[in-house]
Amino acid sequence: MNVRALSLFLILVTASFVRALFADEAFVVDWHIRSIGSIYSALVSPDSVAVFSESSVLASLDPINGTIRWRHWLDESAVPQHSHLIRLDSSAILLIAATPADASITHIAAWIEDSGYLVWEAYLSGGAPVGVSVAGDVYVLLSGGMVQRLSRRTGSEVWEYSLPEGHYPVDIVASKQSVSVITRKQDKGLGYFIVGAESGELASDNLVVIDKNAAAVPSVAKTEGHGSDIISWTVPGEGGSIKFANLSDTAMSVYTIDPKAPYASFSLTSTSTGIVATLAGLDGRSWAELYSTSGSKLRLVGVTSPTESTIAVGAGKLFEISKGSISRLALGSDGANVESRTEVGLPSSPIEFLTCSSSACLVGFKNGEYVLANITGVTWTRDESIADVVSALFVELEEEGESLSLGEVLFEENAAPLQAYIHRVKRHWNALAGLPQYVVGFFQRFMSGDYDAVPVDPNSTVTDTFGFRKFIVLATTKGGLRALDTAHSGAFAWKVDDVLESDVVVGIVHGDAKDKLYVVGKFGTVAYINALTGKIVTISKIADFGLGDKVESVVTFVDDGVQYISAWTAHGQLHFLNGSSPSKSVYFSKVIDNAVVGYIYKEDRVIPTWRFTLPTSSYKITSFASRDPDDKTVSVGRVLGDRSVLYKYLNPHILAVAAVHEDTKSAAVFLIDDVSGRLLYSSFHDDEVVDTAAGVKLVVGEHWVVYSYWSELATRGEKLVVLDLYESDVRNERWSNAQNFSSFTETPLPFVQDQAYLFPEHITSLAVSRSRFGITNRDIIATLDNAQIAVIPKRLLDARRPINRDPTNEEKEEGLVKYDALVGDDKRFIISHVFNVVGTKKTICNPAYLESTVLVFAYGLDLFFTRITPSQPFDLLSKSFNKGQLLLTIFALMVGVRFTGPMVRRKQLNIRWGTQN
Amino acid sequence: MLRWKLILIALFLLAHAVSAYSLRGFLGSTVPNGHHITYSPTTEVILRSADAKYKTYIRADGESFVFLNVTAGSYALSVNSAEHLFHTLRVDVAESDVQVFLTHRGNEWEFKGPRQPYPIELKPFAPAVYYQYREGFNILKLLKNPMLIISLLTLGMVFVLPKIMDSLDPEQLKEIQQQQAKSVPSAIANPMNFDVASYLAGKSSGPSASGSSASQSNSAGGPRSRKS
Repeated sequence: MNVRALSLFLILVTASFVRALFADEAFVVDWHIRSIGSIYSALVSPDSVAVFSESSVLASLDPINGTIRWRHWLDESAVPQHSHLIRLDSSAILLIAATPADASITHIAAWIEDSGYLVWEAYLSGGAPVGVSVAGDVYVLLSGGMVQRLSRRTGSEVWEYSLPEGHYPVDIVASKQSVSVITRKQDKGLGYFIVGAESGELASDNLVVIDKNAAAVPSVAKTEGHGSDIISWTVPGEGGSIKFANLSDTAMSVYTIDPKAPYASFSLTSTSTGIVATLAGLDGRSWAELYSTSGSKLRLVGVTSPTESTIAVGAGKLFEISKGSISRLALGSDGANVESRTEVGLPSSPIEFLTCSSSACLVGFKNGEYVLANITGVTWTRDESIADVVSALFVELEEEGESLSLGEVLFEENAAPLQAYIHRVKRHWNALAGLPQYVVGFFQRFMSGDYDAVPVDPNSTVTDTFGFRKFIVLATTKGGLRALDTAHSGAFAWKVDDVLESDVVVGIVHGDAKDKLYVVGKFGTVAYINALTGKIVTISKIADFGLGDKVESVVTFVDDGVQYISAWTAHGQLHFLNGSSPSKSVYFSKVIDNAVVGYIYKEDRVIPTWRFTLPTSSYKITSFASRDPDDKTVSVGRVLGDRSVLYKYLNPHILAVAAVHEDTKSAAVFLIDDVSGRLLYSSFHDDEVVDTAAGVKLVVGEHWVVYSYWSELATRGEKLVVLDLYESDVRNERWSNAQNFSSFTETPLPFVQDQAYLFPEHITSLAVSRSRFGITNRDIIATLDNAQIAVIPKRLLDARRPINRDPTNEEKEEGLVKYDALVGDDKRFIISHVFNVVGTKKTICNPAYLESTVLVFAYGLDLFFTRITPSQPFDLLSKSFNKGQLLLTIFALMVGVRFTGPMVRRKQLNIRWGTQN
Repeated sequence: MLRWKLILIALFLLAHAVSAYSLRGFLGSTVPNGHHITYSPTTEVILRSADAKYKTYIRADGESFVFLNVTAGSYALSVNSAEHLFHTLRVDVAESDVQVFLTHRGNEWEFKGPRQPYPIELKPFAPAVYYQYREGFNILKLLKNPMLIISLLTLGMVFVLPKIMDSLDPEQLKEIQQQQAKSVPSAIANPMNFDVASYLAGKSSGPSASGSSASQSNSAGGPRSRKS
């Protein structure tokens, strides 16, 4: 520990526990991007766009700019796969969805579309919702064969009707007078019952058979509106014929369409001019066919020519959406006529989602982008791919003044003196262009004392003075990469779609150069990309990749200062990506099939060495963690109040594994040396009722492990347990003498001090802050299930805090305070302040150039970035520092000296002369 | 607003009629300082036990909430609000009735707090404070600082005292000087070898004697002897 570190250490020890975000820094140092996820269903209207996403988010988007007006994360009460989003009336929308446990219950809720307030909700037992129809009141058909009419005002049940035995529910179409319940039965085929809307009883006992051969049809497509309710279906084995029936038609004729070409998917819509079928061909081309119905006769009116574009019907109009334009077509007997056409720039990715209304179309692309386009152009674009992130990492930007490239330095050093001189003069001449800007910036900074006074150009790849500006590269499940600029509210610095050529991204990792990244795909595709521009340098397949093998994770080794990056596959193979493999043996471990397996890689072979199994098979591993290899240690011991030292157990190979026991509702934590497989410590929480679904959250720091779990006993709450590991319980005793800790030397087991604390909220994940040199204290960052993110100083979670007594003077010197089980009650520990950071899965940290400051980024559904100073910003001038005040004080002192100086001189002179005046 | 309230009352009654396991309540909208609070539509109310979790949202009237289909059990009821802080309540739902208690965090679950009325009424006890505020330059605050007042007073004395001394006649001055010489211990008058410890201990021994005894005791119990 050098002198600087020691003096810093003293500053840090005296720093207080409670600190918070300054009000003037909120919304300045942090940013938050709200997401909804991939859209499952949407209702587009001129005043709003209501969406329900695959992440179970119900939201209302502004139709003008696409921002979220309100959203609710219905995580546990709505499954998108069995959901229906439908308009209740002009001001409210209705979401009907199965609840997840076993989809046996349907949750139905009405929401005010403008504000997001809940109007009413109801739970219906009887299975998942099969069909919904709104005709004044709400009619729901459940998978258990029940039809319920619910009051549109309160959601209370008006009546319930059960289908006769043997009839499977298919769909429901309601009108003011009657309700048609479409069913299928083995011997009767597809048909429907008519139930009186008022009475809730069968209008006639007979099933109206629509199609005798359609008994095996799993579902029918239904389009309501324009005065006619159409159901359509295809019968397997009847060629490609599409059948449809108009339920509003009393004759209930069944029409058969034989499309012009084989198709992959179709949809039917009733418009004022007839029935429009839009079809997508097997070759990827789509077309539309218009039919008119008169009596039982069906007549083909017109057909569009097959096109690469996507065709959709919205509010009775036919739209054609291509990469470069959006057109409205009028389809008649003479073919399609373009009514209007607008050139727009749409993503080139394939269209996966499309909903149109009379005013606009909401188009979803495979790359995760959603566009609201109308006939005049694109209104807005939202990128929802960032709602589902596989992996994220920070990328360092270039330092300012790095304009001199390595090549130029070498040139100037090696070239002939005259040439080198000319080169240098030229370079300086070119640099002069930046002088005015520099001078202006210098004065701005001088006047304000604020380094942020000179904003960083968003298009540059240069970091700011303190290294707060970095890129965060996200790999998404949609196969794309997004780089966020931390200094510009997370704006995209660059983006790449489908980086691995339709392979699934498993992970991203830093390459040999700090500005290069490896992107590894599940099926062996590896891209090497420039992290500052997103340009792909090389893309290749892993050589000798096993047939049917899959990459599971990316493993990095550091051997003699050289970094080796490898892909670990399901077949137990290691494929090294940067060409070379380590010459010496390297060790690693993996959690496989509820056990931890240790491996050695030597001579190009992977050999399992040890296996750690849990005490009984009822234990299930919920999480595991090891220390961040970049985390630095400045002191090997902890100095106690009496100047003796407890040496930290600084084993870099600690793997912490947490498991829960489903039957006894207990939890256990094991610390394993992941090279030797030796069990270092274990702790069992048997006499508690642990929330096994939430599991145990773990984080491994310098010489400690912190984990948390929710349990009901002895007191209900989130328990936060700290294990501090020391080499020995005897002071000044040390076993590991070398600089590096070796797992092969027989050192005694660590001495573990533990302590438990109570945290007020449910914790969903834990992380630890990492500063540049490791001098700054560490903060535990906890994401909470109330959509907030908290910090807990590690110093507060100290196992040595004295219990039931005040600390002695020696303990005070160590910075210990009296033990209090309750931590985190103060809302000033919440770093996400008023932001609602929904669905956070993981938090990553990265140091700034300043030792005091750590950049924190949390991702999941939402993205949140902030910077924290676990030991106060000791190396940064405070914002409240007043330059003017300082100058004024100096000036006042100067004036004072000017006046008192002569007075003192006169007085001294008088004393010498012995005179009093 | 009234319309919504009527609807909700109807809903409460209906919900109660259909199942005995519907819980209703509202968040108090007037806080002690008389302000009226409107809760945002994202305010979540959560009912949780060891094996069940129910989540509902604030209704359109901006304060009430209803839990439907709640199975019997002992629950913790909490409110997720970014703006306000609420106590956690214990809600015991049984066949026949619902009992509500305040909870005290960190105590055993069986340790019930004061009984609360049903329908549940939950008032925020404080607004959520996430920030700390910088103290700007404040001249009044500076003047209130006792250290500053003391230093200003001494500064004043420097100027004023000689003037007072001057205004006294020479005989009176002499008298005062003599009195001062008597009252002040010689130790203070001779600060070079003044022993603070013995002065505070009330020992009135002469400066030379006290100085030597202090150094002796130092060598007896001081760090030097510990080293040997």
